[in-house]
Amino acid sequence: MPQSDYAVIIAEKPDAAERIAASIGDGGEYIKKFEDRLSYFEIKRQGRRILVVPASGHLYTISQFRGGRSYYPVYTFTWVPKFEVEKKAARTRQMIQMFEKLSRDASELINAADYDVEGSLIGYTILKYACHGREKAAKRMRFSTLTRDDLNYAYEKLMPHLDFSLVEAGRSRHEVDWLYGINLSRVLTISALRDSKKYTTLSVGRVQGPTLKLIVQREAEIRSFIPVPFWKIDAHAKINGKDYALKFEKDRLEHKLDAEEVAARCSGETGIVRAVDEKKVQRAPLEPFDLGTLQKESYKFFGYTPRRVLTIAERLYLDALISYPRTSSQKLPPTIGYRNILSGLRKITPYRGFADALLARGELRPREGKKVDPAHPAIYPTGKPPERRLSNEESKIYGLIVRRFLAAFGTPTVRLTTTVSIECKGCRFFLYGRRILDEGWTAFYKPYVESEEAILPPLKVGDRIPFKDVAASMHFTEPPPRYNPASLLRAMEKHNIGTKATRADITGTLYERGYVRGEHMVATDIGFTVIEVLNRYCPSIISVEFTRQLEEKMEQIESNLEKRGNVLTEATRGLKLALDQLNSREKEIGRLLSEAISAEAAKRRAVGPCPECGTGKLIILRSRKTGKRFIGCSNFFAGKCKKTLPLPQKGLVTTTEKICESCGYPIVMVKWSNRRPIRFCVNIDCPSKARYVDKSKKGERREQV
Amino acid sequence: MRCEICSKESDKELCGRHSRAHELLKETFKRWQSAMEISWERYLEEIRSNPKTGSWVKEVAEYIIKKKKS
Repeated sequence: MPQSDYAVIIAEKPDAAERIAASIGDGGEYIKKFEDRLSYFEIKRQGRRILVVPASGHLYTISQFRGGRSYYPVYTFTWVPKFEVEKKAARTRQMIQMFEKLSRDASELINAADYDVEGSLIGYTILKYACHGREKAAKRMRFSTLTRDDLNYAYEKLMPHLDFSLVEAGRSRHEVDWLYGINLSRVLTISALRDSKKYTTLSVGRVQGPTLKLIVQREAEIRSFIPVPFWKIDAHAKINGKDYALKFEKDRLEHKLDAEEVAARCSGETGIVRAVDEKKVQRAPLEPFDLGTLQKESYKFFGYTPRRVLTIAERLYLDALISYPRTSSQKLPPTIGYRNILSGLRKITPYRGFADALLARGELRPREGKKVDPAHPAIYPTGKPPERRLSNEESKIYGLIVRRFLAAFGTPTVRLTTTVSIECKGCRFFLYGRRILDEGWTAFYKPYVESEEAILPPLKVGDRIPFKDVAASMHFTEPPPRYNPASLLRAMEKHNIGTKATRADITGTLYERGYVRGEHMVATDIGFTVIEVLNRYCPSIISVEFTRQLEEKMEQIESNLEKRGNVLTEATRGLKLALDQLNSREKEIGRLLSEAISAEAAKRRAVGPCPECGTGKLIILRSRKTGKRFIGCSNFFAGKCKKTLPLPQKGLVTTTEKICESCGYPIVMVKWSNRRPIRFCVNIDCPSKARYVDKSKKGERREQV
Repeated sequence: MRCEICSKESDKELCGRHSRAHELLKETFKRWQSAMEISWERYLEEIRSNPKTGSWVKEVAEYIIKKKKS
């Protein structure tokens, strides 16, 4: 056992603990030790012993003070070890015991969890509950990267006490979210259970509710959308033997006759060039990455969900390759050491040329965005070359971050845009061209930026242009697009719903609860009903305005402008009003939710129309005799159709809403936990399967031989 | 009483969603008429077959067409 003068450093995760130990220990040496099969690290620094002990995120959570799980409202709560309420968190018991034991005789305790609201709260709860109530005497290490230099600097400049404003903000966020989540979720779940006698987990929370409302509102807009026709003029001209598309003066014409009249008037005629305007346009570099922008850009280029991007970015952070990713800052202060980072990046082959070009400059000044974060700068590469081979996804995200960082130091890109105005029979058409004069920052950010040129032939005023063909084409107005994970994140940011750290998880929960489905988020019947119920009886709970106000109050706690107690009291008052309303309508709410749950289950079972009888629906059924699942026609029960089709007995079968092009039967998808999902036509006699049948016959023949 | 289209409980022939869609259908017909020469019947057919039409509106268009035929 360690004795007398030694310090305990609390790290947020085991990887971070090892990196801290390897960075601040004398000579980079450390000993990996074990306590009940859990590892921690012992180092010596200037002769003094230090134990770096890892947590695994939060070790404590909120639980109701007493009572069971089948009632509401619940207003009393307490912080408890996580293993007491979450089966999956069993290992936190040993972790807490390790902290209790190792901290008992320590002369100094330091919280070195990530410097943000969550990290501050993780350290605080461990210090308060596991380290014998020593949170007031503990110190805080503040850093933005896990590099040796940053960690040593942070250790030398320890904050004399914990960041209590961040701790208070974290506590209030957890407590308010817990109060809303537990009560509203129980109202919905219990109401549905009492009506249908079937259990379905329904949840709604302070952030989840308004987010779902955004999706439901958009879905309602799409389902009520009526396209309206309009017309476009498609004109082409032949100049020096090459075909050019011309733009008509009006983007769209609302009357068919007007469009047809323009087409008839200009078709086969000759236009005259009336003006040629050239303009130099500069475009400044893109601002450095905050978490939201990184998530959106990664979805755009790689199709990664925000949650996946955060996980990858955290792995890169733990490897000390990038700075702390949970940041909302778009600032790159000089203190991060631009030249050091660039010198590091020049050791990585793909970036050598770019880094050299920037290092050759006298002064380095990055483009910065407006967003700020008091705790961390924007996401930037540390310049440290990777010590291991990065996975494909890690290398894509890392590359994107490096290129964005380099681009921030680039000069503006300069383009020459040309607009040629052509008159034809009283109508005006335009030709647009663009040429890149100076690539500027786009050279660093390729291939993540468009830099296509459109070169025009040399034209001057008075030139005659023969119009090849002019036609009016009919188009329709478009419904608004459905949200995808990236655009939803953008909407949440715009409305200030949730935090940078929690937004990605909310999207995942909406899928898990069955409120939305598909990559382009379609609100389900359950999602619609949950919002309808809350909108009818307690609209404030899911109002974006209410959530934003609460969010602002909690941000004020971080800046010491508001007290946790006030925010809790106000939030509880609003919640009580909502719960009274919901409680008095429990029966009606239960019936609405049960209906939606049954309808959704029926939809999930419906595979598509029955091609055999033409009127029934093919649905997934289970045999009462064998318990095996198969597909049957809904008309079977009316004695009209006996069509049945086999299904694989393992895996999750989902409908695709697509019809087989070869035979007209529906296509389904089967997902397994350990292999790639497959899509197939449910018709076993489908002509598209002929080659597989032939192969299996050949196999049979071989066996017979 | 239940909605004649989706069987959802309603105090009118159509539920809230489908009533609203019906209203929109009538309102938008004026815009179609101003854009081109079109009859109410042809408009309903166009709306029913247009892939951009929202599902609630499509259901209402189908309902009106069927009702007229029967």
